[in-house]
Amino acid sequence: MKCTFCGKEMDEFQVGVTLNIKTSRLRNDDTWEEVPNMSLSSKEVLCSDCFSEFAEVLNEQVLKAKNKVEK
Amino acid sequence: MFGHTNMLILKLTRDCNLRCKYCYIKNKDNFKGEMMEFYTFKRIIQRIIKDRKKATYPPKIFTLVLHGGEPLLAGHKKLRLFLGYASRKFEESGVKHRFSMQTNLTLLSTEILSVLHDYDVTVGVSFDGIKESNSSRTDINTEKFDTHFRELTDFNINFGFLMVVNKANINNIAESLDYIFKKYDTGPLKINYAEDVLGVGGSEVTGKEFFEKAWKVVLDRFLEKENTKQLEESNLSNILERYFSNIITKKNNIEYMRSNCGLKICGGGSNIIEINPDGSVHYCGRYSEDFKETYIQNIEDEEFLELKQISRYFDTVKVKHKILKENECDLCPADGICDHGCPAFYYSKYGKFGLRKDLVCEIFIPLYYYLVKNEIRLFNKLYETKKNQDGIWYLNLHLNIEDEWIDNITKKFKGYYVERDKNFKTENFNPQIAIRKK
Ligand code: SF4
Ligand code: SF4
Ligand SMILES: [Zn+2]
Repeated sequence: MKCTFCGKEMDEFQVGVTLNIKTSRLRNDDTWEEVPNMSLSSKEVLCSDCFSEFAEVLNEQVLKAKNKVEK
Repeated sequence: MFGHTNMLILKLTRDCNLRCKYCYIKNKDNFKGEMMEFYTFKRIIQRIIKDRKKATYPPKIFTLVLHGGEPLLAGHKKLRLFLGYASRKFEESGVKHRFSMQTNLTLLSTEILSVLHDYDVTVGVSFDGIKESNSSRTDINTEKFDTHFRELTDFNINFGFLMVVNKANINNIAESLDYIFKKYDTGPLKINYAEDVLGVGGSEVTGKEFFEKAWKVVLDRFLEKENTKQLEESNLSNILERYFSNIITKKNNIEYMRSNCGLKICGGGSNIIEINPDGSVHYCGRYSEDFKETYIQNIEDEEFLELKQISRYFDTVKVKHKILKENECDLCPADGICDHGCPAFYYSKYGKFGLRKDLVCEIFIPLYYYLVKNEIRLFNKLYETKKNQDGIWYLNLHLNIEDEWIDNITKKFKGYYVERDKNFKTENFNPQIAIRKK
């Protein structure tokens, strides 16, 4: 089994990361309506190195982005 | 990218041997001799396989549409090379797939027919109708078409017709339908409205004309003709399915499935994508040229959790949402059946996203009232054409069935027994209702 990100053969660990997205839009009548093509799921299966890197980068970058949105 | 995409419009070339008046591809003369390289094609197939392997819910069947310009310009050798490679790679990796092709058929040869046969390519052919209907096109007449259709039939190749309604054929839709269905044992054809995307004029009919002289003609034929086997047009088939689903479930079921066209926020960029001969990936094949705004990425670009594509698609969702709100589509009676227009056509024509209310509303609002006024007759006719040998019509609502819905059907449409299908399978998520005549 190869890491879907770096392509290296995985040993010791494989970490599945799944992103589930469900999107709804607010209609003119103030009720929510799902946007089916924007409700989806994507996945990576990462080796331990890639996962560690991913976790760190995601945390940092998301916090950075949060500051940007708040400003 | 391909983890949740079920259809790829693959433009082998943007060059074409014809110059039809209503064609929406811009600057065809700039693409003389353009053709996708085998290397690019291989990279695309490899990417499809790789992305699907890691996907959580890859769409069950992947459809590869060879498109153009005119894809037959590739010639039989290249087509066999491409399709042979894709077919072997897909088989090896267990990718269930379908091949299809949109072509004007003028370049058909025995060699090409054998490629289409060997790789089970379903061919979508433009048929504008009989006699003067073809005057918007170049180098095409009814006799030539007949020869090609016969050849496709001889080679046991599946094909479906697409008719683009424009000024030249609007007045003889019924005759053209008679001609097709008398001659060919074919399923419903697709009748689309032409949009004068390039602003050259002369091709577009009004929404009112389109409804009255095209779709309404099809619906009237369905209701009035004795022994009709089917509704002769596929957009209307889907619309009817949605209409009845909405009244039975008493909700607007636009939410029930992912899809391409016809959805309130269409799937261009998500469910369906387009790739150009140079490997650049765009929202949908219907844009008249490569716009910066519709570009997603290149086939060679790396992506994590498909986030590049998802965020690009979300950009269109936001824009489309704003347009729907401005036009108050949520409050329109026809909302549940309307296709809300093709964003690609609009963008190509006006350089921004929007909604052709003049065209779209003029089609869908009268259509909605037609359906309301004729719903009982339509339901009865659908039963007649859809029932199997045991007299059962399996109606698929794409949702988990609630008891109340069964009551809704029996109350609205008298004379039927309605029950849940005993072969109901959750595994395939294919819940159906069995309808019988009393
Ligand atoms: S852009 Fe137009 S053709 Fe493409 S999926 Fe959307 S509605 Fe359909
Ligand atoms: S008919 Fe017009 S207003 Fe009504 S849903 Fe369609 S596009 Fe919107
Ligand atoms: Zn890795």
